[in-house]
Amino acid sequence: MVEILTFVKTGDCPPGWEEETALINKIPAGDVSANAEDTGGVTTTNHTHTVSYGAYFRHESSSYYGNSGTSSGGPTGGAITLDPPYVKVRYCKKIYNLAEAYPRNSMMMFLGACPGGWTTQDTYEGYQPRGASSSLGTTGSTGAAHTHTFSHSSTRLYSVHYKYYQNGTFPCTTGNDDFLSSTELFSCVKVVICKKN
Amino acid sequence: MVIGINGTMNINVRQLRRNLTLSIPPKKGVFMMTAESACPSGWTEDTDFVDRYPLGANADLGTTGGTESYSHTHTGGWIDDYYGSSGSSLAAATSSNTTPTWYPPFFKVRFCVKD
Repeated sequence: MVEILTFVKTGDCPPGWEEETALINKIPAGDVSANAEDTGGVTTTNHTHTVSYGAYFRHESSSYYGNSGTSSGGPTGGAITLDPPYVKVRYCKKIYNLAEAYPRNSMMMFLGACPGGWTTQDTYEGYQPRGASSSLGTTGSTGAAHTHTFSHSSTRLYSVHYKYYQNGTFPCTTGNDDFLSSTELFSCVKVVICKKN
Repeated sequence: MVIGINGTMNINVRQLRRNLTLSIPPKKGVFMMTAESACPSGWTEDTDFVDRYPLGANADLGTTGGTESYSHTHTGGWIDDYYGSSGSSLAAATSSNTTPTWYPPFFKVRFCVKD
């Protein structure tokens, strides 16, 4: 007995199919060892940036610029809600014990191992299906690497002899600058992707 | 004229059931994925899904949403200065907005709907 998973874009599930509510607000993700309704992924994430800086210190009475320094701490972003582009669909499942008449090379999602006549697509382990019109069958890994340039303007008195102005911009060049890593999935239900032989 | 047949007919029930099941087509409106150059006969490509993920829902079916990139800011932070005054705070720093592209890891497929 295997649960096959499909979806419809309008209306209810077809007769004989049951709505799969576990997938509401989720995207399926390939996982060859998936069991029914295994879940994973995240809908929000936090990240921080560690700041490094260069020549941004200027002696009040000279043209000297300090040009080194180490970063310590860094701005922490708030929770980010992940919101990849989507089409809303209703997921439907059906329990059966014999293969249906899907065309050869059809790929379907199963909540369990592939049935006879279907081959597991382990290439898609850890990936989520995304519509495309070219380069079909290939995988992508995007994440969300990015940098920030911080600007500030402030004055600090260090001692009776030296007064430094700190202003300008400094790049965020190190640290955790991915708020979605290359392996992080959007909130998902894990499914086995199978191709009809 | 009537022809009578006498004898035994052997039926492979398992094979018969399989063949009968295979004759049942998928229901109209259901989707499948393919990496072929086109959807097979009897199925139509739905291009609404190009560059999009099928997100589970129980209302507003068929509507689209989400974004390909995201803009956000950071504020605050502090740095140690070169002259050893560690841990001193700076005035709040505000980052410029950035718009990283963000997708979960994906595999590209053509979504086909049963006619």
